[in-house]
Amino acid sequence: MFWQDLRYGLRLLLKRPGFTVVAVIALALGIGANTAIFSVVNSILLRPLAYPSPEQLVLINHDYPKIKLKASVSAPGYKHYRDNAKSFASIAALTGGNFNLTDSGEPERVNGGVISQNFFSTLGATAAQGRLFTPEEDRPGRNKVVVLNYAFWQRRYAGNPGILNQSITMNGESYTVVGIMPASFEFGREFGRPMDLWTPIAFTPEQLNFNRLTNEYLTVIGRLNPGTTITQAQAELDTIATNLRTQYMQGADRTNWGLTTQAFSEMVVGDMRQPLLVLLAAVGLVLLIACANVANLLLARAADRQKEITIRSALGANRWRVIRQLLTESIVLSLVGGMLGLALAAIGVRVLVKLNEAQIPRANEIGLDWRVLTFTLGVSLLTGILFGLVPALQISKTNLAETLKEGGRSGSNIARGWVRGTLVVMEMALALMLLIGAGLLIRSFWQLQKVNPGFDPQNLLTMNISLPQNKYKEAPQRAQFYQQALQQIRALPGVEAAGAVSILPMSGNNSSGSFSIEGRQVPQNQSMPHGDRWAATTNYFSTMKIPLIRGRYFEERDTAEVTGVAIIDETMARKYWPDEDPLGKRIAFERDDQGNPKWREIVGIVGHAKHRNLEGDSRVQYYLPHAQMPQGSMFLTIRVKGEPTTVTGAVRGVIHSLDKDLPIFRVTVMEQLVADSMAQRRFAMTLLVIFAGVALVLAAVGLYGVMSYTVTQRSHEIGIRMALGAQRSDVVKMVVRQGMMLASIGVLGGLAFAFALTRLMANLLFGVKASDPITFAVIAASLALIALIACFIPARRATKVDPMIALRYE
Amino acid sequence: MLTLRKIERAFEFGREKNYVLRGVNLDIEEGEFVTIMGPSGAGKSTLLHILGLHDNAWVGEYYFFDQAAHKLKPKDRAELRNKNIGFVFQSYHLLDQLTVQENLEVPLSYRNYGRAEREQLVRETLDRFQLTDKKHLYPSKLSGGLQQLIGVARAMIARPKLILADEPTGNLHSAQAKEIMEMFCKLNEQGTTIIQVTHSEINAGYSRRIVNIHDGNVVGEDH
Repeated sequence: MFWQDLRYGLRLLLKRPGFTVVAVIALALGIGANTAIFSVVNSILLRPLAYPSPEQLVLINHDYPKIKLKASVSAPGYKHYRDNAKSFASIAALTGGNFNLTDSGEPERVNGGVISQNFFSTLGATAAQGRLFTPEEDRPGRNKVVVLNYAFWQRRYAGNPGILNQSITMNGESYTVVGIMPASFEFGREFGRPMDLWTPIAFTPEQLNFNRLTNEYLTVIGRLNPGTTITQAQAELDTIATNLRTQYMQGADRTNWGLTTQAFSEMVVGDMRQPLLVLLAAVGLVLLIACANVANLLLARAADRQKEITIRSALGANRWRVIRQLLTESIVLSLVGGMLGLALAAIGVRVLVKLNEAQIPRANEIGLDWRVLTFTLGVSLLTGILFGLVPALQISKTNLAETLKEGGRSGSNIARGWVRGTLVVMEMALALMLLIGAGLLIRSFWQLQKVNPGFDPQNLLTMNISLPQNKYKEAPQRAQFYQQALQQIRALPGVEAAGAVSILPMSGNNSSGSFSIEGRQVPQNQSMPHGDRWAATTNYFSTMKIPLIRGRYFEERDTAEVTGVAIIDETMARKYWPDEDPLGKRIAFERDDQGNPKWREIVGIVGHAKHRNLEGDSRVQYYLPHAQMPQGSMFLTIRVKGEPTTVTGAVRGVIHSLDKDLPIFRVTVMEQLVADSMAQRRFAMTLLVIFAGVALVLAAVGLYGVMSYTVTQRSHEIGIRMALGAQRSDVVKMVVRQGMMLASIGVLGGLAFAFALTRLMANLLFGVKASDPITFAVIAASLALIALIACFIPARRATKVDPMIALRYE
Repeated sequence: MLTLRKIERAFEFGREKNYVLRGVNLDIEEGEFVTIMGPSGAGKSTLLHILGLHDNAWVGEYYFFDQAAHKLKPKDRAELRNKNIGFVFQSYHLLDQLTVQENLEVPLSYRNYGRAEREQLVRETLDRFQLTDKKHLYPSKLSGGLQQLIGVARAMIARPKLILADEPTGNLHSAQAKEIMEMFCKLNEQGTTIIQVTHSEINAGYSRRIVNIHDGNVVGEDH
């Protein structure tokens, strides 16, 4: 029976290729969009991380609730938690370690992880070849061993197993390769920081001293004991934090410091959860619109099918049998749409990931797996039932005598018209919601692009250089290297200005720290002043075009030998010296051997430079002259006449003429970094715009279809009206009025729903309210205009009705 | 009132041209009650639609009073029709989704009547045709005779000078047909010119002049 229904269904679809193609395309778009987004959601939110029992992995952070700062963990803190927290089977630590690899090949900057010895075992990983680190190897002097990432081993050493137990030179020191991880172990990649290799961390007793409890630089991951919840672990850490505060902290930190936990998977997901859920809801709406469209097409076909169904009923088919036949046909249709949708999704996801790899966590894992295939199959079946059921119920409601007498003309056209109208209203409402959502994101993006970053990102080339510690041990060496390099770069043709800074805006990195203000005591219940802190060379501000508000920029005279100086930004000036002149005031963030603050005089106030991205407020910022705090790793900023990348080769030449072993990395232009900072927002916006566009087309086609069908159905009535005196304009008005009535109800309903639902995406908006009246009005008016066009075409066709023919061939 | 000279109407089927009317000449005076008769396919209904200015694809001369309809643009023809002509159809052609009252209002809505005037005319017409108690009913709830009565009332509501009726009693039994024909006579006595197309000798008997058509030509008249 089923096969008979199936065969008949397929034959019918082939017999009406026009209908089949339109329906399959609508379904493929709806199902494809859902499959694509679900495959992203599946990889990021649903699929467990690729570690054994990943739900037991927890991230531990130091927490400064008063300044809303979630910091890393210090070395003494890590050791203390590892040795005392009983909720955890093990606690591991990691810090980023970038190495200049200078063995036989090209010098290369590699991303490494400097890890505690138990790091791999905490994650449940084992080596594919060789071994992991031994407990002895996390001691100073014993830690010159390295474990390679599989992909790095393949790329750099062509998968040669002979590299095991060989030495490689990193940062000028010799390390022995002791192990190679399996291909499946890609720690770091899930949150966008793939690591090439790992070496053991070796804490000195000095580093483990509790006076460094807030010197935070470690990422700490714990594995909960089986059966222990994250809440229980948090409670234990709270107790540990209370004890530490009492024992080791004074002043402000006593009331503003704690420990916080977060599931490791949550950290990986980051800010992507909400955009993904919004997108998932959006594609759900697109699918509903597609379903309504196909249901309408089926209803339009109902008149053709009425005679056939009536004859089937007359021959003994009961209503359920007829419904089953019709549902089989609709499910066949949806499965074909689903298959095409799957193909579209496979291509779409590939393009999506390619365009946004850096911004999407676990991007490498996104693909079609059994979950996605099950989802697509389920959605296809559900879709087939959803769009098939209403027409099936309508068509199967047959009055045998009446229909046979009428020669197949339906007696339930009014009911069908009502259902069709309702479906179109629903399509319009859903499309409007999506369009408003997309409109709000576009407005947000537009507002964001208008934000002044506080510097001029045009024509700026940037790159990162890191001087190896063992080769550039002394501070003056480091200061001199950058001084020489910048001097030579400035002399290059095409270069207008060049400077360097320890952390570049929009680079994704940051460093911050607390400071004291001379003459001010911080009350017990308040926290220490805290701000972003960077080292900058003399020409950094002028190169970036960060405006000088008062005082001066750093100058050559700000050397290590003279009094320490600092430049603060305008927000810091306003916050801490609202009624005073900060110039000449002194701040300190470090102490000398006697424990006295090392005061620095504020010599300049500069504009605030947006740091993490263009959104929100960054913390207050203060800069120190590089000569007084020479960092090994600096970002060069080079302002160029014209296209910035034209001088890349020449700059490389300068750096390598000074040190041929220095790799240059993260070479990019500032405009790209600014654009990258908006990438996640652009990602969500682009997708929502695409989905809203699909929804708009489907809804417009739906309205057009219904109005076209109505015109065909009403041609007799139109003929009568024309015979009774209706002009063409009257006919156009009549058809358009009917269509616009449906569209208006849809638009009004959509506005109400959008008003309620866009609030859920308030977090994704910037510079625009979730109920922004301009967006609501413009989108509603645009949709109404498109609806008007969709109605006008059939309305014009209606005027072609010849009353003579309509009346004669009633 | 109406003067037709050398009216021709042909339908094209591919390269072939089939003449439905060939050189029809006809004069109809104001106040006449005329029946057009002839076998099926003779061109009666086509002639009626030309007289009613529904059809624009004919050639020849057609004077409506002193207006040369053949020289008017379609829009002006429509205006002339709306001002002067009412139609009654064999299948009534009432709009199913409208009530009796609303059906009567349809022709007025296309003739720039104000709301109050429309309501008054509908009220008067319902009264005149004794349909007031049926005004809220839908056509499907009424008998064929009543439906055609509404068809006649609808044709009359805009006070036309001419009523064109195409087999007005074709779907009615004899008693209902008699009522409708008597209504036509009454309207004619009140001054409305009536032209009907019918196969029925009995119905033709109500008129004062019969025009016979055969193969697209007027072949004779009976008075």
